[in-house]
Amino acid sequence: MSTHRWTPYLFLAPFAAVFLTFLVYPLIQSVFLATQQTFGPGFVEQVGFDNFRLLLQDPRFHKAFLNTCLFAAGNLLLQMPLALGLALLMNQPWLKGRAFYRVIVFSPALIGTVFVGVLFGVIFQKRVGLLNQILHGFFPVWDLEFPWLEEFILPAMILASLWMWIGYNMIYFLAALQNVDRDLLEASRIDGANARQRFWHVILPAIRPVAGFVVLISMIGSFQVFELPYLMLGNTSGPDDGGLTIVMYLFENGFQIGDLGYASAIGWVLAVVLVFLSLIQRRLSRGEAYA
Amino acid sequence: MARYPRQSLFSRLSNWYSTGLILISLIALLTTVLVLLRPSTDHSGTVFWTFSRVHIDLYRPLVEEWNATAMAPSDGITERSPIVLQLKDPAALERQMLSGFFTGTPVAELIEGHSLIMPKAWRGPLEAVGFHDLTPFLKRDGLLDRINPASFSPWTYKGRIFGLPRDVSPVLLAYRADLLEAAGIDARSITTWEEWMTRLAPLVEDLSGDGVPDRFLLEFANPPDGLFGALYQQAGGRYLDADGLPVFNNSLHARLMARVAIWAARPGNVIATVPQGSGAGNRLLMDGYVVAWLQPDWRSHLVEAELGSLHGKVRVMPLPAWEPGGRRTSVMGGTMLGLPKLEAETPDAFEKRWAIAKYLYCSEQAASRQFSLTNMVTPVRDFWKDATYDQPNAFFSGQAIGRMYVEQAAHVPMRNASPYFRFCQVQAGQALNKLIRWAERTGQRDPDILQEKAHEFLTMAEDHVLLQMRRNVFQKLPE
Repeated sequence: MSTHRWTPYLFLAPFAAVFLTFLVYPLIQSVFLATQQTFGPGFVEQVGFDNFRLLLQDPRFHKAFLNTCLFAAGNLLLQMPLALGLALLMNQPWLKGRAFYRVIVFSPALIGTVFVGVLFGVIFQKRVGLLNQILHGFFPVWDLEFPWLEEFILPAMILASLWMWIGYNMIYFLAALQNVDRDLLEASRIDGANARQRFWHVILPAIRPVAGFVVLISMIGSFQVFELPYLMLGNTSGPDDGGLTIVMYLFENGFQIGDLGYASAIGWVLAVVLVFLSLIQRRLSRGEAYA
Repeated sequence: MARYPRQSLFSRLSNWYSTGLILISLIALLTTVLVLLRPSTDHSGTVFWTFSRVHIDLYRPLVEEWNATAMAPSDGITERSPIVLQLKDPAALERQMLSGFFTGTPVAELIEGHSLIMPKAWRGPLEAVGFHDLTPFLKRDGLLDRINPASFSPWTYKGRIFGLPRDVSPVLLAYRADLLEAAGIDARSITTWEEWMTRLAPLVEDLSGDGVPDRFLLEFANPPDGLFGALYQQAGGRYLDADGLPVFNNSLHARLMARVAIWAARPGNVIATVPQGSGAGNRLLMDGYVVAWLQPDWRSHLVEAELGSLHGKVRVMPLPAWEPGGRRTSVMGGTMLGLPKLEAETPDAFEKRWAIAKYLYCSEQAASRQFSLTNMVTPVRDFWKDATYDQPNAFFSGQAIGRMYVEQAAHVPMRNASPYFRFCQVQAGQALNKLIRWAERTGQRDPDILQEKAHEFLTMAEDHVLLQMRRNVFQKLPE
């Protein structure tokens, strides 16, 4: 009997050990770190809320915050409708070779952000970049020196992200579309609803929970963006910090400058923002569910 | 009593677990055993970490020679310690080095790193620097006088030298002699940047016929901090003063920024961005997209190795000066060797490490080999007269580039070892970028107006550096 009492804890122990060591302890430690300045564990100075106070005055953090918000907004506004559109297309029974197209559209998600970052860094280059070369080939007036990675960093980042994640998000929407009640669709058709009406009044309400989830993970992913701009911009934040994101700034402070306290403060601000956005999203989803 | 048929271990296990899980567990077990049985590498000796494969090739014969006589008493030490070379990725080297300094995890007895890595070791209080202060040993062994003073500057923090310099990194201008000769321009007679841009102006050409120039007069970089930093330092510019406070918001800096912005702002630019060190960048250099580039001695080796089609078409010359009679060189890059502080080390053990450091960095055979393999000039001044530097180099049109670099080595500008040096450079580079963008947006090319605007951007950059510096409780900067 006593063996049975301990059995669940025994099974939970490996997870609990890993969870406590690699998540809970660092999380608690980062709270303390955010109120300190350190040079290794041997040299620690308590600075209270100075790290957070500096964040309010730091123009580079403001820039990073703004860039990240714009990237997240652009990403969501472009990616969600396009992913849903693609899913609707891939869900059409008349489309031949749907499975093949799905693989093609999904495949960029398999490549990995690092490769996509390097790849788009080359594609967007001036003069030798593929995009400028193609545009110049089609339209000779197109300037080969078009500065994608100088003047249009955020649109370039959003395009690269779109290429990478649209197929991934499409799969979620496709799964949701395939779960839409056929009887309901049939009934609406019999009632005389046209395609647009069926989409707005039957399909969209049915896939809302999945859409909410996709929006949430895309938003969190967008706020955590790091490798993509870092590699696209050659391990820099780009001219005038045009590609600086919150996590890039965290990385720069924590691992390049070595200011772990300030980096922890940035990390906590990011965490709070994400929790806040998640709560808003949850509230909106709940409202939809009640509706 | 019924007897059940006897089951194999696998059958019994597969009643409980899936075949996949059993297979994964077996693989994990097998690989664990293999790792445990793997013979350990013998690291007995003095471990030397470096970040560059080229450096490993450079040191290997020297190390073999040293190790062959490892037990022979010489050099005033009781016995030599064999050297164990280890190559590390720069990021791994940096993290392992700092972890060792912070927490006492094992580090090599000798660590070689470049100028982006090593200053991080002295971001905290002076007593926390993990390297030995080499100043007394350099003085004792006469190296302080033998080594070029500017080479010490990136490793001298608060008056103490923490690294033995490996190089001088003087900068010359490499140019496409074939293109200039075809245009009837004698580059060697050009002595200032203004003259370079004026006399070479006809070379800015539209070769493809699309109405846009395809050839420019100098390689530029984005971000421009390193390249422009070299030009600023050539003119005598400094980023930090003796107290470690930023001083890069000055009229010299603003004036140079205004000039460079006029050259770089489109339309009408005469210099162009090249993605340096990449395949695309090399392609542009080979195609003659730019006719000249800043070339520290270490880059000349890379140019030789990577731009084979330019063999015999390139020449080097001292940098054009900013003003007539001004400095004709600058500095880019740099590497040092540090001796980490080790627990309970005897003076004799330290001397053994120090002897290796001197052998690899300051011996005549090391200097000679360094130049023949990498085109890099040693900072030890008494070796500069060596005939190795007079060898003609076929790639660079038969010029004795070694001698040309040596001639400029003594004029290399001093640098600052502050951990904020690089940060200042990056911020100044961002300010220049803003100025160029502003000039492009407004079409403004008046040097005085651009200079005024440069001051505005530099003020913002300097304020930002100060904001970061002032909050470092370990630096204790003067008000």
